[in-house]
Amino acid sequence: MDRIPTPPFTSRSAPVPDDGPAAAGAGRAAAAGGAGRLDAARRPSPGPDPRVPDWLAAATGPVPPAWTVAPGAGRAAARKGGTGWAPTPQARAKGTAERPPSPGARALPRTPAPSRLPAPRTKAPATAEAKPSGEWAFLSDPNTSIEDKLFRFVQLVQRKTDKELLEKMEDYRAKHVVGSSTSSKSSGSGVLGFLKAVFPPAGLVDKLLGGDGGPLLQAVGKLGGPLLAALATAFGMPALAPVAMKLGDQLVGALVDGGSGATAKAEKKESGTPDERLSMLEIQRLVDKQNQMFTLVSNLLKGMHETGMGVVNNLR
Amino acid sequence: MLPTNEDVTEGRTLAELQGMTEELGGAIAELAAGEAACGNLEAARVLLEGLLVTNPRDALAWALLAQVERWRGEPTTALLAAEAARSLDPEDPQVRLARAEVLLAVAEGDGEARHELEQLRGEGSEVGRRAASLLRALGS
Repeated sequence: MDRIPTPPFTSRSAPVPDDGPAAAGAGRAAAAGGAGRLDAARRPSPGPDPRVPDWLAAATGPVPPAWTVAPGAGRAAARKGGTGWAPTPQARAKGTAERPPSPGARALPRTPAPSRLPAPRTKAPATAEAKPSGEWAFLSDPNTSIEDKLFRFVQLVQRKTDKELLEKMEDYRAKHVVGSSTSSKSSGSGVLGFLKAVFPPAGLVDKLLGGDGGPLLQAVGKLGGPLLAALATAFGMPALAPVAMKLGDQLVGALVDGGSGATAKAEKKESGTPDERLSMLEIQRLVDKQNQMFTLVSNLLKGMHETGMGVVNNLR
Repeated sequence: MLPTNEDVTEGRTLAELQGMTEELGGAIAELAAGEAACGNLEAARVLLEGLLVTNPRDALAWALLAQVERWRGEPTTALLAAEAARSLDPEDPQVRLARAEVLLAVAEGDGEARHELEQLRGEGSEVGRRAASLLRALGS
């Protein structure tokens, strides 16, 4: 709960007529479109202090003024590159023939509805379907013992899992090891360069925040990687979003503990980004899968051996 | 479903990938506005950041974040958000007013803010009234 302290009243200029919280709430509700919107007038809003003029609340203090951006009003007016929202089910039902599909919409393969009529019977050789072929042919070999089959089965599955594991490790190396070795060279100046590239040509960084961009770097550090990536997308440069994500994460790591940045970095390196952790979890899952399989086969073979030994002992 | 680098590069939003509709986004933004109006600025900020990561092309959510960051005493972050909103929808009066208010709180942003408020004064909605009120307070 974050209550904002109200600054003391100062009368530096003539007070501006205040609409009051109720009027502002009603206006906001009207702007938001009426039905279905949250009624701001019913909220336990602190409202502006009647002693504090409007301009003071707006320009200097962190006191929420009566006016708030009404997120519901004019929401569909986003002009650049579509709204970014998924179409509603009703819009989808209208059919896609009227308008071209949005760039975000993924074409799902249409599967035919299952027919309730019985499928026509065709005479197919039942044995040909059941018999495994190729490298799995040993499963139907009557001359191979069950132990041999089990062994060869494990061998094949093991080969497949090994291949998958290698691919995952290669993927991890390509994504995180190679990328981090190059990106680790980038510093705060890299982020500043990136921001100067992203921001409009008006030169917001130099004009409003000073040439060194110190406050800007701090602000970006507070934003974090995901929001910085969103910012890049908002400025019409979605291609820079992955870079922004990495730079933002690095900057956050550096700014979280400015004095002992080394420890922060070491921790960051150890834990890694969420994507990196996900890749590592995937590798761990595959190794666990192999272990489980080995344990299963080992137990099976042990059980079979003990059964055989039991029979032999009974015969003695 | 998590977006791949390809999805992000091609400008697909998480909202599109996950089938999140505009109504749902609007409801979350309303919730954030309500939290901000109640003074729960941290909760509002968290809601809006999540919303913007889901759909970075929502200009009004950026404008609302700019307002919340200004109330939190973070004018630089507020300015970044306001510029993002302006980049997405430069004509929207709410976006313009939110940006003007942020500019008032930033050094050397006063002139541009006044100019924007002068233009917004003619708006008939609450935005126009707010702009006129601010201009009167500023002595113009």
